Amino acid sequence: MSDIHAYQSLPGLRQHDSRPAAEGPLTMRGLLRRPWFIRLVAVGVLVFIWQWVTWVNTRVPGIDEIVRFMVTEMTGGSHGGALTGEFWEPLSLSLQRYAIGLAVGIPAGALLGLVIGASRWARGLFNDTVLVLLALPAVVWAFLASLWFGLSSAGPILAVILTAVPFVAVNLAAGVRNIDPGLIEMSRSYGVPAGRRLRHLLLGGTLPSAFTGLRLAFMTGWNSLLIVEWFGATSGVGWRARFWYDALRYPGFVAWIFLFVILITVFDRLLLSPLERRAFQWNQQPTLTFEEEL
Amino acid sequence: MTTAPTVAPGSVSALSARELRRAAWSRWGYRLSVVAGWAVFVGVWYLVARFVFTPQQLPQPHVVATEAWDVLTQRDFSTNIQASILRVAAGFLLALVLSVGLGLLIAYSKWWRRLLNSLLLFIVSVPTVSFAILSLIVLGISPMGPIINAMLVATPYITMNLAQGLTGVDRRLIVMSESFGRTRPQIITGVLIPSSLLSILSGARLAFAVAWRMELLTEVFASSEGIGFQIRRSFESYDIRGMLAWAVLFIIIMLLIENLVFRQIERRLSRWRSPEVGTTQ
Repeated sequence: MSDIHAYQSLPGLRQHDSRPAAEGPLTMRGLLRRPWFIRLVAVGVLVFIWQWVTWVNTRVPGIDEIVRFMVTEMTGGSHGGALTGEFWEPLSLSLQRYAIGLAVGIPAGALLGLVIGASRWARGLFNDTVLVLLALPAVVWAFLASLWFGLSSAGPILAVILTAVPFVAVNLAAGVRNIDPGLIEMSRSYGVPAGRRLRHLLLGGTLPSAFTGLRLAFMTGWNSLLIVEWFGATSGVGWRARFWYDALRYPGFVAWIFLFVILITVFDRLLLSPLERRAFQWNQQPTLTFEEEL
Repeated sequence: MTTAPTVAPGSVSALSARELRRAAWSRWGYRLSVVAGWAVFVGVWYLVARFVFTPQQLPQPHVVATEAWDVLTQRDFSTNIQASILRVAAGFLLALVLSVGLGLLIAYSKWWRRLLNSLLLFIVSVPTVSFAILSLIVLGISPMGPIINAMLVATPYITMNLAQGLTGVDRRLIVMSESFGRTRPQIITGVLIPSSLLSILSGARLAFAVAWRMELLTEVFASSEGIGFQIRRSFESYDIRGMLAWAVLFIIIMLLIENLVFRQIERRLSRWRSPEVGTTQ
């Protein structure tokens, strides 16, 4: 169990390709191999699967219905009756909670991870606790948070913190322990100053696992925020999806679920991927295991 | 520990005796710190339960423990556990079958690798709660929801590890077997499978952990039995004691399967390797 959520990223999968495909004259064969074309095919496959599900199951709304609903929701138009669209208010509220939760949870997890990684005693002391926290399903945290704090914002924030901390801690601890002891000894015997040693050894050695932890914290934090808002909140994006579910308005409900996915993808693209690319500039293939030229 | 076997008991130098003592101390010290860690965990729980929350909000550890025992012995424990485990197993097996096909495609075709990479990455990045809620309207309240969702989230992990294992096989071994006139099936069973097995297994272990949680979450939303359903029922009747008891049992079962099934298979399969390579820690 101890290693299971460390380095949980998929082997060979990275957000960005270090090597762009060669640009040549646009032949049919070349087009088929362009990365953007392949991505387009992937999107097409997903859209097709969804449409197929709508044909088979009449309860499931089609993509046109979903888009129309979302537009009404975003522009604040009428959904029929007294219901009007709400979009920016739940969204900004949820993003606030998410940001606060991560801003507390990530540093706390990082501190814990560094301590566990650096000291054997601390590892004995905290390791099992962190693993229990890790094994506890997010939904249990979400339920506890909403029962303890009622409908306030404290529940969602606490759930984000509690799910983010163990993921960051476990990965950072694994990263610290994987630093080559030979390198530490060598830098010591060559009299490298502590500041530089800290920067190059600790930071350089733990970056790949730190990013894994960060990405998992982002993903699981968002997930548990949604669960708390679904079950125990009267505001936020999770609540909005629940609202349309209870109103039996399936297009609205599915539209919000799609939005959850789009939002986490946007966080990843806008926040994590650029950061990651910057961090790994010095080392183009940090954890790549199989990457051949296409 | 570090002394050579030829050294007679009388001639153990003072230095090595001190080293032995230090090694023993550090081993026992570590065990001590683990015990201390559990004591701190339980102690903090007691303190928080006593001073921060009411017993209704956070029951004390021994109350949860007795509740878990009650659940274990009296109520409809076995039917719920059985339902959950069967669903996870079904989803996991489906994922395994699917992954073999996809993994082969990824390992041997660059175009398919690009396509499946983006699709699998997408599946991994979707918040699991979306799958859980979607299955509620697509499949309704049925056992199919947890099975399909478990399959969906497990597939990327097994597939990618399988593909990695296959591409990571030492090419020189294959070339050598070919030049020694081995047939294709012989190469597959003698080279490809043994050298990619551990990678596949570590993927399967991870996939199982992920599938198990996904199954629980789906049961919370769309099921009428299983551990997840019980947790939700406890939540809706403000029974935090019951909820924590079920959660504790869930964790224990997860750790048991992890250690009794996967670790054992891994140990057995890696026995032929040299000890340095075979040990996971």
